[in-house]
Amino acid sequence: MSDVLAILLFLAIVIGAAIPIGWWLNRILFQFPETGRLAKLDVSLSKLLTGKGHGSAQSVKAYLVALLVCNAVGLLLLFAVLMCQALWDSSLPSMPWYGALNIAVSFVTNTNWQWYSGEVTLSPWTQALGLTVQNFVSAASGIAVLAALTRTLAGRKDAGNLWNDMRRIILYILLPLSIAVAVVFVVQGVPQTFTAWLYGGSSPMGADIPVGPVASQVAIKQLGSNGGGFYGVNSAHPLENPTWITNALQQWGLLVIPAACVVAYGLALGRKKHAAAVLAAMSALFVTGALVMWASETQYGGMEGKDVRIGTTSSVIWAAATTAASNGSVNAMHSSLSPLAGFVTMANMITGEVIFGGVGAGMYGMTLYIILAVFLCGLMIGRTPEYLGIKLTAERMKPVLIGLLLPTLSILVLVATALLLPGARAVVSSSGPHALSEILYAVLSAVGNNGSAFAGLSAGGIEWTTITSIGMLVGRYGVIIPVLLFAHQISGTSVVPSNTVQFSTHGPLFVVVLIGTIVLIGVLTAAPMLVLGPVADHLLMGVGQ
Amino acid sequence: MSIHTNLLPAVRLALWSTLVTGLMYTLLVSAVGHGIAPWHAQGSPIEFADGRKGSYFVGVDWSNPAYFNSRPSASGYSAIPSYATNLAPTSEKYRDSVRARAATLGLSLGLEPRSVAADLVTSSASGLDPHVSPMAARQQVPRILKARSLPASAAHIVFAIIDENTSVAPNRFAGDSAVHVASMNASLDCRLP
Repeated sequence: MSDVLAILLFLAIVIGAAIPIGWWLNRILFQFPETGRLAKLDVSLSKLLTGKGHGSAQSVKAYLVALLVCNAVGLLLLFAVLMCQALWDSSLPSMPWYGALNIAVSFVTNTNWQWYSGEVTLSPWTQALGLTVQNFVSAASGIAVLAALTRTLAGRKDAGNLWNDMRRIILYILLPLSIAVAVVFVVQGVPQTFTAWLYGGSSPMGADIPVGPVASQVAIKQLGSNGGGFYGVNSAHPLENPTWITNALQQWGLLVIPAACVVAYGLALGRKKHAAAVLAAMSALFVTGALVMWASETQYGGMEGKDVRIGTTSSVIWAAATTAASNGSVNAMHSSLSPLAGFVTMANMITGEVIFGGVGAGMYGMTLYIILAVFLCGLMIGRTPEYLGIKLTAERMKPVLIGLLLPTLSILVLVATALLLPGARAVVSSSGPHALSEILYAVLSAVGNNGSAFAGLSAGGIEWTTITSIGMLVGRYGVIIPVLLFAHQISGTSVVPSNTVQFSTHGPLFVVVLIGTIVLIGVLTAAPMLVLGPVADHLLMGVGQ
Repeated sequence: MSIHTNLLPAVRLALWSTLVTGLMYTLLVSAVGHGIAPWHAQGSPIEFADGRKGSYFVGVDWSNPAYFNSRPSASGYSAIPSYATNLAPTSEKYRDSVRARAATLGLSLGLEPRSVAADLVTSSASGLDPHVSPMAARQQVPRILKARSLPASAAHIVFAIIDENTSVAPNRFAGDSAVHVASMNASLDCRLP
């Protein structure tokens, strides 16, 4: 019982903090002051960083192209940094090009899938100047897409300006929060140094401990739904997550900005009740998943793959939150979770990461589900469906459905591909249903831009780096492009609340319909695979196999 | 609108974000961190009771019966790199290893194999777990007393050492009760030499 209360208390703390952060997000993105100190600061920072003042309003298409170019440049730069790592640290093994490309794709798409262990593959400088930077930029990209969508939903013709949005999101939201959190981490024992080894690489027992700028990277990887740890075992590592204070703060960081994005969405559209309903649906799905995991872990799980200071309850809440939020950091090893707990982590990812979801990405993904839910209900009562006063015509529904189905389709194709490639099959670490779970998890994690793993799978070979790179790109841009195409189609539509009775977008009925749509579309498409993987695993465990 | 016109702003963003969020942010956190918590920022280096050097937060292997023993580790407590077994709880290998550890520990701790603390028979997530559960610590008290040739009347000192080194989180969503193995062993050498 106290564990059930622990889950609810955790969620209450997250949402409590998400309200002020969401209010601030709304101000920065949708009501940026034109005069006053912040406005002046913003202009001078813009001039300092880019040599220009504010960017002017862009059409949705221009905004999308700018975002794609911005991410492509970031990808190339990070790839170059990784390939040239030997220039500043010759002690590290050189990386194959497909491995470096996989890391670059992984960090630019906000996935942070890691086939490597950071402490033995990357130098502290590569982690700070390459990976940490993309942790900020990819998180800001997700929020920017949500901002553009929200502006068109509010009836604006333009999408805003990408360069303004990126600058403001990074400098006024992500950076201050990260600095505050990172300093707490250092005080609690997370290293923050530019030497690579605690004893200069010459420990008497030959067992030195890798250190580096850990706190700064861990702060943004939690807040920006990135998830890429400094160390191989991520936040299970006692230097990445040494105390209950760092653990609680990191766990909070998993969900707080994604939840704040929902608050900002509601404030920007003047639909607080709608935002509350969306948060209620997300919370219900999250709590249900966490409870199933907790029940399964307390009955069938053990301490394998868990650290004592973290314990079962936090391991369960974290695993539920990190897979729901497309973060992908872990404080316990998901591969060692009991089968039904593993089932929940996969189900969370299959929804397309909309249960809170990634920063920005969760809410724009959720918007697709909301539109579909409203569309289905509108058809049931025989009226032209509307969402926030915008008519959902057949033309407008096309990008919505593409955005919902493309990631799911790519999951099916990539899992099938992995099962057919001997080189991809050979690197699983177990046999039977759990082997399928390892493969399924890897693909779901890549397409969901999550980044966590059933880490028994050795994913550094060319087969898996290719499969996951494709998955990550489709999972990210296969949603962003349709979302912004929808935004393009509705941009400038005059939002006129119609006189006819419309399906309400708040209240319990809407929450139930939204949850139903997510479960129906999200989870059922992958049901056969889930049955053959974790469910079969669970049933075999029941008969003692 | 075109790719061409966006190239320059994109490169500029890549450059300033590297400068601000890569370099300046990292340096700022380092400067503040080293200013207010220099030992922590370095990685909390300490010397253990038996002269080994390490980090306060990173577990090491303690297998001497006169000390509190640490949990099994997939990496054998090597930090280069950190890793876990990732064994599925349904796998044969997992069940065999748990059974074997429970049998051995049952003998050395004088317990039924079933009642040995769960964290002593399973390997940790990090492979570097610096803690054991309070139950696992208490189960080791008779063995420690015997190895140090101390009478059973000294047990209350060992139990006090366990209590002093137990950290308790205010709520289980934040963490679980854990006893710091290296600190207990330092206290053992200090108070029961």
